Amino acid sequence: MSDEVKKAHADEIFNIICESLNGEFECSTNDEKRFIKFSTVSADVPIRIYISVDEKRQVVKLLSFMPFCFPADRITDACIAACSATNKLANGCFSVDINEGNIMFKQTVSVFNTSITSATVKNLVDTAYSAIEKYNDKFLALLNNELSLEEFVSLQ
Amino acid sequence: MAEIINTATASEIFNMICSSLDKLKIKYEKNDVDLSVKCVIFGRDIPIDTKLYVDIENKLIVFQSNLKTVFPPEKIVNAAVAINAVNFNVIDGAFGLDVLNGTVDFKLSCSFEERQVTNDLVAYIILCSFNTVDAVNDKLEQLLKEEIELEEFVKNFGY
Repeated sequence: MSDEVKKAHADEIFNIICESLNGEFECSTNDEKRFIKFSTVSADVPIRIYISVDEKRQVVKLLSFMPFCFPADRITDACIAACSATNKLANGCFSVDINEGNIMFKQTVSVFNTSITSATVKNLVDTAYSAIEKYNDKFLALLNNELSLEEFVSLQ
Repeated sequence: MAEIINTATASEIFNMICSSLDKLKIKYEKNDVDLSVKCVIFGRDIPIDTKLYVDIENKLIVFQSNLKTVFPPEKIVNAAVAINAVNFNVIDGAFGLDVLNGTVDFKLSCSFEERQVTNDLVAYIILCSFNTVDAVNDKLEQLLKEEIELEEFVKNFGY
């Protein structure tokens, strides 16, 4: 796939993503960087979602950072919790920035020589939202010592 | 031009998995009942035990590899930090650590719900997964055997 074809395809995919989400959420977009962000209302912790199209790798990346950080002396707890949560997901993963203590959810969709539809975008956002919504309050409770690491690991 | 199958059925996708492995000249054992294949892919160093399957319930195409590396209880914390350092920077898929028994796996899942599935997409799943596991499995083994320190391990992954 030539660089020109990759660029045109990335533009096309980004347009599909924007059209799919603009009616559903209050989005902020950056067309040059092919980047869209929006917030959703959850039961407890706010969820901010960032979706971008990586032209070089031909993938759509959904990222969501939780609005809190683990301090340096609790990062190992966060790492164990993130591994435990990821193991229970069918798709996507939680990971910790081991320098900063941020917790990130990530899900990727390849668009190499293939397209997506608004239903694909909706499915991506719904899947991510379900995973984040299930665990964000648990990570916060772990941070606030309201939930022990053992209790976090034993969550179903 | 990529071959496109709109809303491909699970069995069509399974056939695409087999066909992609054939093209890559990778030998496999296939199970037509649970729509899975098992194979060993040879990389730079450690052979990669692989299972590719169609998860009908969740509408996913899944590449899963159970690594031979198993961390003992006293090394689980180091392993968890290492796995997070990798997962934070990996493009697609994720390494999993069972914090209770120390086993490590890699999984890349791709939804086929309401989307086109092409041979290129299936090849991407196989090659992206293979390249990721191949780049990491030897370093995890070195970490287990204390041939590298955790600090040195994480430097390989952008830290």
